[in-house]
This record gives sequence, C-alpha cells and structure tokens, in this order.
Amino acid sequence: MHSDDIESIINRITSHQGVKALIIMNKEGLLLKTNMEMNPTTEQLITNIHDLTISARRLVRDVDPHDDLMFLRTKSNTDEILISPDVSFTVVVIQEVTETITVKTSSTIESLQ
Amino acid sequence: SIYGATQAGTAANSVFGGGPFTRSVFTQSYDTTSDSLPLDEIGPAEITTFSEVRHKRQDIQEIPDDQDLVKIVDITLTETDTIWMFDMPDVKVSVESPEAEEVKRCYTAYIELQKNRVGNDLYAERGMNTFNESHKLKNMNTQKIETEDVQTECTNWNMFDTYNTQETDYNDDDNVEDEEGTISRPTSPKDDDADKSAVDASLSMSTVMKEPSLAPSGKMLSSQKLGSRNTLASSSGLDSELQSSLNTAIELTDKEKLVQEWDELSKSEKLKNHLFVLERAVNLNTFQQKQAQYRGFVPYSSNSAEYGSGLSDSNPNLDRLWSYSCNLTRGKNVSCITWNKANLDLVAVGYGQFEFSNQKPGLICCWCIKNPKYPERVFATKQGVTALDFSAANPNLLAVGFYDGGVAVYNVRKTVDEPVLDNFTTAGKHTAPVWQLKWIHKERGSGEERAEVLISISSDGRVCQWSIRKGLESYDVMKLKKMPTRMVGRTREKKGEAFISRYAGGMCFDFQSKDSNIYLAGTEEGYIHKCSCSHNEQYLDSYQGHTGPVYSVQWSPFVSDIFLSCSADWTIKLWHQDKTRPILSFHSSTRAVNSICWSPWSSTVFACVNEGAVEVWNLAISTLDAIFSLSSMSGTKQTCVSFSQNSQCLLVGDNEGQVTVYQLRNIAKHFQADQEQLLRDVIKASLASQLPGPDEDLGVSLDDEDDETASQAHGPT
Repeated sequence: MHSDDIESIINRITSHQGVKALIIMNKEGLLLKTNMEMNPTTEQLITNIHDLTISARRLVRDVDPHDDLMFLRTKSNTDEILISPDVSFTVVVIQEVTETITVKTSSTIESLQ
Repeated sequence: SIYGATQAGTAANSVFGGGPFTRSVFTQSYDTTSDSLPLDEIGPAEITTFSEVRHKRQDIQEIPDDQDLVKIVDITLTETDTIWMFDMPDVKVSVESPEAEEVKRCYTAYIELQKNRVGNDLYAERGMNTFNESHKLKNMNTQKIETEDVQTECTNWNMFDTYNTQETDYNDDDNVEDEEGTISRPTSPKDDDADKSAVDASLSMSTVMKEPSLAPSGKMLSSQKLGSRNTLASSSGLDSELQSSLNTAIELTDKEKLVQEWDELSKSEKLKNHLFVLERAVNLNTFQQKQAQYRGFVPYSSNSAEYGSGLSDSNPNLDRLWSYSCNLTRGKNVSCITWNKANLDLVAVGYGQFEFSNQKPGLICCWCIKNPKYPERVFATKQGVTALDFSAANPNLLAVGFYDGGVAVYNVRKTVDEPVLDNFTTAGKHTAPVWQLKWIHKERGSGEERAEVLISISSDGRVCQWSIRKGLESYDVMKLKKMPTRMVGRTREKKGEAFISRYAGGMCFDFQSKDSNIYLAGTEEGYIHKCSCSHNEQYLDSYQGHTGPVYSVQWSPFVSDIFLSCSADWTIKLWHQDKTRPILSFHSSTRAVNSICWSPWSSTVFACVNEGAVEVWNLAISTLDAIFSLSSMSGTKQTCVSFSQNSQCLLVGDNEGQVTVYQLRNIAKHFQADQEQLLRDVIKASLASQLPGPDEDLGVSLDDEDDETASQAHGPT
C-alpha cells in the first residue's frame, strides 16, 4: 500500500515544474533509484552530494549529539538541491530556480489569528 | 616425544657475591653453563643439573619414521615461572632507630673507600672471560599475518551513538542478534571495522562478561586485531543463522544487493514521509510568491514606483493566487467547501452534482495551502457529495452528506477510503439529498450534557440530529411543515392541488452562536423559519421575502441579530431576527445566487457567487452594488464560496472541479474597533432612507434606545 503511494508521489515530484532530477541513495552513497541517466557526471554529482550530506550531519551532531540533520537546501545560480537525509537513506531533488522574490513583512500585524 | 633442537638456554646470570670490587675470582663462572636451563622444555621449570638434563635427552632420541613426520604436533610455548637468581631487597632504616648510627658509619666508611680507591695500589682493574655459547639460527613459518589499517573518527556523536546503542543492547537482549547481523552486513571494510572497533572499544571498557550474549563480540575483540573480516566471521563462532546470511550476502553482487535494498525501502513509511516533505518543498519553490501573498506578505517589486500598494492600486480587487485542481477532480462540480477547525490551512472540498439527472460518483478531497497541486487526502464515494463539515471537538472527523440522503463520518487522519461511520442502512436516513450538515455544540441536550452532535437538513423536510455514540442514531429535531401560502397579493392555494409531501424541503440552516437551541432553516419554498430545538412542531418565527429556494442562510459573525440569505430568485437579503421582512435586499444579476459567506474580519463585507461570477459586497460603501465582481471568462458556473480564516483570501469553487484561491485587496479597512457598530450604523442608515412598506412593522426598532429612527423614517414622507 505504501509502495503505491510512494510511486505516485515520485511521479508527481518528477513531473513538477522545474524538477530536473530525483535521486534516492542508501547510507553509503550508493544509488538506489533515480530518474537521471547514468553517466560519469551524474555519478560525480551523487558522490559530492553524499559527501556534503555527511559534512552537514557532522556539523549538526558535533554541536549537540542529541540533534540530527533534518533537511538541507543548497541554492546555486541555476539550480536548487533539496536533500532530505535519514538514517538509512537519503532523498535528493534538484529543481531549477524560478525567480526569487523578497517580501515585506507587514508592519501592522492584522488580526488574522 | 620432543623434537626440535632447542637452543641451550638463555644467558645465565652470573652471580656476584661478596662486596664490591673484591679481588676474588669467581670459580662459579665455570659452572654457569651447568646451571643453564633449556627454558623451552615442556615440563616443570625446576632447577635441574646439567647432567640430569643430558641424561634425559639421551633417553628420548629416536629416529622418526614417515608417519611421525607428517603428524601434526602441537607445540605449546609457555612462559615459565620467574626464577630468582639473586634478590637483594633494599633495606630502609629509620633515622631514629638504634641501628641508625651503625648504618651511618657504614655509609661514611664507603664514601671514604671510594675516595681512596682512585690512585690506590690496593685496587686493580681486571678483566674476565666467559664462555661463548655457540649460536644457532632458527627460522619459523607462520601463516601470513594479514594486517589492515583501520581508522575511525571519534567524534562527539559517534561516542554518543555507541553509548546509546549499548544501552539499548542491555535493555533488549533479543535485538543483539540483529545488531550483529547489521554489523556483518557486507559494506565497505573500512566503515565496518570502524564501527566494530568503536563498539568493541566501548565494550572492553565496561564489564561485558555479565552478558553471555555479548560474549561472541568479546571474542571478536581479540581476534579482530589480526585477520580480515571473513576469517573473523568463521573463527568467532557466531550463530549458524548469521553465518549463512553473511555467506549469502557475500554471494550477491553489489547491484543485486542494491535492488534488494530498494525493494525493502519502497515499502517503508519513512521514505514516504521524506518524499512528502520534499514534495511540499518543491511546491513551495514554485508557488513561493503566491504562498507568501496568502500569508499576508507584500512582495517587493523591482520597480520602486510600484512599491507595495501604491496610489494607483487603491481600488478593491481580487488577485488570483492559485487554484486547486488535479486530474481526479476535472469535470466534477464543487458542491461544498469547509475549513478544518484546528488546522486552518486544511480545507475539505466535496464534489457532487446538484441536478438529479447528472449524477456521478462523488469525491472528497482535503487540500492544504502548502501543496496546491495534489490533495492530501482523497476519498471516493459512490454518491455525489452535497454537504461537508469538520468537527470542532474532534478536528479529524469530517461529516459528509450525500445526494441520496446518506450521512457518513470520515476520519481524515487515515488515508483509508472507508467512512468510520455511516447511516446508509439505518432507518432514520434521509430520503432526499442532504443539503447541509453541521456539528453543533449542544449545551442542553437530551441526556448528553455538552456533547457535539451532527445536525442535517434535507429536501425531505426533516432536520435530524445524529449522535455518534454507537453508530449514527438519528433523532428528528424538526419537520418543516409547508406554510400555507399567503404571499403578497395572492389568496390561498386551491385545495385541489395534490401535495407530494406535507413537508417543505429544507435547503440550509444555521445555528445561532449565542443560543445553540435556536436556529434558522431555509426551505425550498422561500421561507426562512426560526426554530428551536425544544419545539419540534412549531416555528418560532417565519421570514418571508424570497420567492425561490433559499440556498444559504448565515448569521452575521459580529452582530448576533442579523443574518443574510441567498436564493435562486437572484437576490440576497439581509434580515433582522425580529422583523419578518428583510431589511435590505441585494440584486445584482439575473442568475441564481448559489452561496454566500460573511467575512470573518469585517462586519459589513460578504461575498457571494452566482452562476458565472464572484461578487464581494461592502455594505459600508454601497448597498446597491457589489464593490467588486469577477466574472468567469470560460463560462464555468461558480457554486461555492468561503472565506479563509487565517488569511485575506477567498476560495471559490466552480462546476469544472476547480477551487480557486483569490486574495482580497483593498476591500475594507481592517482593525476597526467596533465592527458591530459599523453594521448597525449601515442598517440604520439604510432603514432611514427606505420608504416604509405596507406590511412593515414600524413598531420595532433596531436599538432599544433609538426611537428616532422610526420617527425619522416617517419624516421625509
């Protein structure tokens, strides 16, 4: 039952606007599932993403071992890499950057609550 | 039998007796060899004489035959006991003891001696010879000692993790086997050994011996220092089960292992949660501006002239943010929208046809603000859905009313497609579509004190109360009897006409917020009745005015005496509960008004949808026209409207299955202190300008202290 839901969520994510790649890897950085074609560039990308996740996790846990890394976003000029790590696997989505916006926080807090 | 010529002893310690630097020659040195011991002889390490040893050796020299050559002999090298040749412990004498003087005298005599020694004739240097033992070189073969470099990172959290896993090991013996299983799963050797070395290091620190199940890992400690992992597994005596799993794992190729891992993973719920979060993040990236607008943030524009809301943008307007639709909802008619009471970002939308001729299976979708592309929950139903409401006491319960009169309760926490409760087979089921459902907090119920009950109204003329104690039990609160038609200018209806039923079909209702016993019910005939739960035969009041079925009736959230109603006769009417004629009537189009909704922040603002347009009215500005009207280009008919509770936004559903989110801008000034007074002022002003009608009850005024309004109404005429 879960596997159907998982398949449908994966389809929705990969068909979403701007999404270039979806990668699922196990805890050693070995590829489990992806929708990218396998060429040396991809493999290099995956290795680097894995190393980045390890470094980020090290950062969080060194400060406080009770804590753990939950989510990591890396934005470049062209892409945004969204990394969702877990103990035994990591899910990564690469999405193209749309226009960035800045917002003004309203000075009068309206009675919305 | 003992083979192997062993080296004859180690260097014997020559024993010096007597005082230092004496001249005597040690004759014992010749005997040192006789005192030497073949230390690698198995047996008791006693001091034996040389002759005895030789004797033994002669006894046991045999010629080895072939069988003996290939026989495997165990030679155990052990350390013998330490043989003390000479032991002269130092002696300590206290300064205060009687012998102290003697000792001090000896010391000084020695120092004198040392001084005198230097050029003295009494002392001479002399060399000495010892026997040189013959040397023998011995070679030995062993199996190749395989070494491995192991390194591990010992960080804060590594230690923390190992302590944690160790504690869970102590607490739960059953899991130890699994632990070892995971340790020996084929992974890269470095990481694996690193893990093990960390575990073993910590194990050696504590008293492991208490736990018999941990004994194998103790063995692992000693034999791990040499040898690779494979020999480790074979020599440490693990369970056979573990052994076989290790072997099979080694046999699989890397790729197959990964496939296996993926199979397991794709069924896990953890992966689903991660994907869920990612989907939301991806959506947020795309819809970031719209969602920020929803939350009330004003975006900067690059052009500073259009910064924020400039003067040019002061007209009220609706800004379309996004619309909820997916391939499941295409072509379905949106029949009702309801917000969740606990999580204000969650909205449930029901899909079902209004007309009898066009019935399709219905759908309920729970959408979330954070994901505009796909609903969080989808429940498919056999019948079209006509009414929805979320419970306030249990925010995960969603009550659904169907076109065939059925009522069901769903639990939105689960994704199961089945309702938790339904009344499809109970006797009290409605026989006509359920047009409205509400969860009401009853203060004086029949037996149950402050429970929440479900009230439904339907075209069969009954207002039913459902309790969810055991299944859905119904209790008729009211039967809406038909009013004898006494419309303005018409006489009684001819008695010859056959009634289909004595009851008027009910279309909508609303409970008063102050008194949960009083409610309004709108009927197909056009009447609105004020009823009470304690009287189920009689109406408290009847409000006439509409000439077509009343589709929606709502009390004002700010002023508890005022309510609004809309009907298929193209009008929206504003009423006061003490007057049976409407105070104000709004007419803006020649289409049936399907739904209305009061604004939750502004007492004079409400929105309505008719078949083809969304309109927003602000009574403080104008009571004749909507301040803003948005017509649909594509010919879709709008069917539902609802204000959002935590945002300046409006949700509009149409008959194509789309629910569009609009943001209101410049509709009304917020933060007005006295909303109630605003509305009353508007009503007073409008009444003042109205000409009194023939049936109007002039004696009743809105406020107790204000009789001038009534007299003013007469004034201008």
